[in-house]
Amino acid sequence: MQTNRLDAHRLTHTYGEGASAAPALADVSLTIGADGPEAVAIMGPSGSGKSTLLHVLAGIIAPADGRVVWRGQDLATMRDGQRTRLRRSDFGFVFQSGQLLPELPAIENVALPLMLGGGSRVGAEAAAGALLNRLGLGGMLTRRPGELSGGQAQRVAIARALVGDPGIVFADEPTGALDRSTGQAVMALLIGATLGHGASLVVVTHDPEVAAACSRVIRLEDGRVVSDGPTERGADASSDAGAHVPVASMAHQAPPQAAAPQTGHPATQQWAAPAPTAMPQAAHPAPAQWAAQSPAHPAPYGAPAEQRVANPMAAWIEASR
Amino acid sequence: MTAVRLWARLLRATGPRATDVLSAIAFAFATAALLAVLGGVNAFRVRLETGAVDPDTGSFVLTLAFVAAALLLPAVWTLAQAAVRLAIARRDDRLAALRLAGATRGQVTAMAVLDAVAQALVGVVIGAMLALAVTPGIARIEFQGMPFTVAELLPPAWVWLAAAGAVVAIALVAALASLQRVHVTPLGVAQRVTAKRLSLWRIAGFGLAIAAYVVLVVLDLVPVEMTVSIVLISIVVLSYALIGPLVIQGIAWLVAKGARSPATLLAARRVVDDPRGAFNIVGAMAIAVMAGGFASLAPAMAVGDDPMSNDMATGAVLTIAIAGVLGAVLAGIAQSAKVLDQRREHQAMHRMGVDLPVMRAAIVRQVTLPLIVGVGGAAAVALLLILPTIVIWINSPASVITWALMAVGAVAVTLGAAACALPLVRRVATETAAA
Repeated sequence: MQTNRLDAHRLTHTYGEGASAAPALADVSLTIGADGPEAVAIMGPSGSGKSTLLHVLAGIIAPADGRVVWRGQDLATMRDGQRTRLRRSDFGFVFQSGQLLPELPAIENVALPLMLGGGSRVGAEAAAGALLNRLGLGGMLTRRPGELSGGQAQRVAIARALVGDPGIVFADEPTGALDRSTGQAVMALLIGATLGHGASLVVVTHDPEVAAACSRVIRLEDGRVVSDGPTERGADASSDAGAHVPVASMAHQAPPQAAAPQTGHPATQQWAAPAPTAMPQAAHPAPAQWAAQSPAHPAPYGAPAEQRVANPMAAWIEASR
Repeated sequence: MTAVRLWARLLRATGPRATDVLSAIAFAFATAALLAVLGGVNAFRVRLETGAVDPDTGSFVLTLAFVAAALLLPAVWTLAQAAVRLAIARRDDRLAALRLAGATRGQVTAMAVLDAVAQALVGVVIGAMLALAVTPGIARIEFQGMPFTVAELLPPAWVWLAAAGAVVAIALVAALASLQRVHVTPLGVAQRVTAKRLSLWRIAGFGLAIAAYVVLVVLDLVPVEMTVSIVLISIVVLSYALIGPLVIQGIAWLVAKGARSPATLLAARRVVDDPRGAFNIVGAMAIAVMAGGFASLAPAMAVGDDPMSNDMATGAVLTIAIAGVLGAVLAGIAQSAKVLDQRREHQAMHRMGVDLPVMRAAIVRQVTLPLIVGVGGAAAVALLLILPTIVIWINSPASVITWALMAVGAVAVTLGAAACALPLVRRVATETAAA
């Protein structure tokens, strides 16, 4: 089993040339997922290089200097087509808006990555349907993005990001276009579902509440990392579990109602609400165990209910349906 | 006045873009085609008025020329519309930014219209020169037993001015209609929510035209003059535009349901989403192919070496050729506009790991699907309607083969032109890299 570890070494990037050159990243080094899945927020003022860092880490743009190493492989040594396939197979993406294909119904939007990976249409749609059901969108499989609310569209985007069983999910202002309560619900779902799948989450945000929901915050200013450390929640979870990185501690912190704003119960609770149950093996959420429930392996969806409920994340998702 | 000044200021700042050039080219082809068709009509009129031809056959041929012109005019309209869409495609963000900066809806509309009209004017000038350049070539074609003269093919000045005015007017109307659809708000361009629904009245309209044709022409239950038959055939052919989008949407829906590859799924869903847009690209050619099918009957039905039937066959070939050229330019322009329109989708697909070949394949299939359904359907309808005379038709293989070859050639040229939009996919999809 490969470790979902992402290393960035001394990343530098500049837009423009000569006198008009604007540095976006300057000597940025960091590691994500060293000790298992984690939720990392990247914060900073506008123009600090947050989105550039996200794009570089995800292999969307190549840095001017430095290296990004994913599972031991340097992205710079890969051809463009290989990086494209890597993004499809290993990464998931959730952006502020406009990421879903407007002509495709929700189920086809979610099934698309699996079909692109060579999966059959039937299998891809079965997995997509199961995942959308789990995310509370069972009645909206055939709706097109334009027929969904902002929160519902973001949940479809989360499903699409996770359907390929990624090792890491990149999110760029995922709640930026949503109202506060819907944004909280979406963020809770994003963190919970991502960590529940054994993947790390890297989220670019301006919103301190979004950052507080993560286990670690990296702050950028003028393209440089000015701080990198656990959030209050991350520190709490870390001390509770006695582990270095508070992995998966967010997985069960969203109130069940928060995941289903369409039910008329908008989430008003803080994301810092105490976890309903202690997260076993918080530092290492047993990726294999979660992978068994990932949509890329539809068979385990039929696993006995008690097996799924034993997992707090599964219980939370189950409750959110 | 503020809008004009602002438009001029932005024009100086940004200069012409590739889309502006493509848009002007589309207007140029639309103008040239319109002038060439009007030139042909003028030539037959001059021959009739000067007594150069027999009055009976002369007036009949003039009717046929009007019919051919009527068949091609929708293509000119669609091409001009596509040119406008292309002109506005890259302006969306700028228009939205202007709205955010305080420009009124009227000012933004005025600027977009000025853009379209300016490009139309450039296109009209180039198109007029193009029409003049090809006139000596057209003059070599023989009709009514003699080749045209350049003088015959040059309509009076007022016709040229009217044609130019018509193209600019089309640009104006299409720009206004496009802006109404995209509804530029300060926050950008509104997304369309649901697929465009097509009225089932289209079936009734097409059925009515077919029924009239069968009763009056095929079964000959009510005796009518040849001119009425010709007009009726034209109505049947033009009414294909009613049913075409519906058929294309239905088949695309079936294709989407059974699609196994992502490219086919994407292409089929896009066609289902906008069947009228898909048909517009292939409509002119489909209509020309159908008209060509009817016209190819003429030599077969002629007794001996009948100049009239030869003229009809030549006219059909010319109509398909002009429709083919217009269709090819339209396919290239419309697909380019679509790629630019869908730039955010392409960027999102690129980020999530969709290979560029998949995106390109979707673009090609987006044209291939309506092309096969539209043109194939048109040929099938033509075959069905000339079924009573099929034996005569088969006995005249030359006209059949010419018809088939012209249709296949026009389809191939259209696909080739659509492929011109493919290099744009990489540019558009990877655009965010710099953002």
